[in-house]
Amino acid sequence: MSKPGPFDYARKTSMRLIFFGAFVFLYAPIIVLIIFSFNDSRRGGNVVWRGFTTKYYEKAFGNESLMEAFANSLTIAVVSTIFAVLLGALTAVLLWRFRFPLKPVYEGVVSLPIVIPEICMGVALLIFFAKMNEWGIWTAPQGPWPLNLTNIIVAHITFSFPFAAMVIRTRLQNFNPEMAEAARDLGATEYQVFKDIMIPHMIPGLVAGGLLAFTLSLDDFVITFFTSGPGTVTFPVKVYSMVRFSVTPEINAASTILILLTLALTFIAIRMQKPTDIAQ
Amino acid sequence: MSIVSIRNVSKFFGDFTAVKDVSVEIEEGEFFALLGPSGCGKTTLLRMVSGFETPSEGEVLIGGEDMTRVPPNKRPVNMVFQSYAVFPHMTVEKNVAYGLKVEGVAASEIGPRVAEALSLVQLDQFAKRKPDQLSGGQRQRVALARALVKKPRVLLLDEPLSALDAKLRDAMRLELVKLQQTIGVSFIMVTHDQDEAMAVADRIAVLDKGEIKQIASPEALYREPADAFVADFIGRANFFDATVDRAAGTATHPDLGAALAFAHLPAGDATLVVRPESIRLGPEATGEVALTATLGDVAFQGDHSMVELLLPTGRALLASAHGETARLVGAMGEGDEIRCAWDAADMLALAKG
Repeated sequence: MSKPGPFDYARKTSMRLIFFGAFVFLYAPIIVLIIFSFNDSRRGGNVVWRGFTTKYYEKAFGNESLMEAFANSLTIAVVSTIFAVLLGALTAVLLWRFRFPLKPVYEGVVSLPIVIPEICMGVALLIFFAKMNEWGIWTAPQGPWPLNLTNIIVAHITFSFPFAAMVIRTRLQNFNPEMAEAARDLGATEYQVFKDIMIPHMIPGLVAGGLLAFTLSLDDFVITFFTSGPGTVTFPVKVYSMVRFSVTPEINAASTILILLTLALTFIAIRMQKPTDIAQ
Repeated sequence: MSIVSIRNVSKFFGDFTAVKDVSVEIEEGEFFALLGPSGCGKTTLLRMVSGFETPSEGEVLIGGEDMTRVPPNKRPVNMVFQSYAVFPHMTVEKNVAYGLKVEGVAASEIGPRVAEALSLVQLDQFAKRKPDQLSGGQRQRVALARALVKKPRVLLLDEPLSALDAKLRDAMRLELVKLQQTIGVSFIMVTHDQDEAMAVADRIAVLDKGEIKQIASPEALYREPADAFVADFIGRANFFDATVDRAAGTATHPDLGAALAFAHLPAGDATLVVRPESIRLGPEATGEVALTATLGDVAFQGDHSMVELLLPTGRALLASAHGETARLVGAMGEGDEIRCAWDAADMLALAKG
């Protein structure tokens, strides 16, 4: 075996150990969580392996309040994603296409929700909704479902649309403006250029931005916790309240489903971001 | 009648003057080239014909109609872009059909016209391909077909060959000329490559700093350049900034010995120009200018050699040697002495560029 080169880190034993250690540190808890979702434990905690079972999956699916929380989460995620992508796309096109006074300031402000700590966003939104209510400008509808989720959806759009805008804007960055000019030259109106040339180019960005917004919304706890009313529960909030009593494999099972869902969506998002047809 | 009339057109971007009072008439069925170094305003001028820029002053007429303020989608001209700008999400066929579709041409008519355009550029077999399955040359043909299918009065080409490799470029030059002759539509091509312009164009406008220096056929540009800039830009040449004695009709330069008589002297300062192929080399070389130089680099080019001559004053001249002379020079070593000579008749006295 030849001597490792200066940048051949992967072949140094010490480096391999650190690499392996990091992986264990990152993924062991998740793997344990998934394994113990199949644990046939009785009451009194989910710590000792007592045999394989899938009954906690059945139980999780049979738990009405858990399923309601799950449905709430999915609804909030879908609705907020649609709005986040729409707003994100408009923002991205605005920032890409036009020059206007204070543009850098605007760009910074738009991306602020990405860097502001979630807890601050949560508190700010809570105060915002409370004051809107107090001054009689806006009262969150209490029902029927899904109108009772309005406040959470608005909050989720607020923090997820900058992410969508970022992703879509990155995609627009490698749009060749000559494409739009070529379409104009061939007789297309501004609207036709947008519809026939720009939107097809933006699609991978729209999908990736959408999936990002979706996963962000789906597993958000902090902001949801602050903005949800007494009667509305989302999946992460529900899991939190269940853990306060005892950690049963049912929670593991529900979490596993969420992990798989998030993982699948993230995977698709990464695939969609791969540059394929943008050469030129 | 001219198909495109550019009348006293200027374009300002803030303080910068991109195009300054340009007037050009482009004839029906002509292959016209706009030639100049980068930043000379040639692309801006083309974009004012296509409608992507609006002139700050002056007017643009296409087919006799004032098009100065007409948007690009309403002009009877089409353009081939430097990057080709082929739509990546559409097949070749759909790319070519796009212009007809947005124009509202009947679906039954689109098919035959697309097929006709594709066969014109020999892409029949590639109709169903996506652009990423095509080579650069093929993509350019798509861009050509897409523009020509609209039956434009004028086809505009923005540096169409610059993205191709050298060999393909030469082949495409010939094809462009043939294509233009076949369909008889006027072509206006922007290029910074003088060889390219010389090879394809019927007439060339040489631009510098937003102004037209000369409009002429390739041969006239080479033989009778309007000034030293054109002489420098078209082909290779040696330049001497001469002192003019207008009364005697002569010009002198310390490197060239005695005063030389010229029938035409420009107003103001003169630059004397001699082309490399006009310089005679070898022991028997005689002429009104006769110099002894030392041999510098010799670049063998196959059919001829480019020879660098170092004068005693320290300046270098470029000469070209053919046939017997090339062999003679090839046998000599760097630093050897060599005679070179030419006549005043081989030179041009031009205004400083």
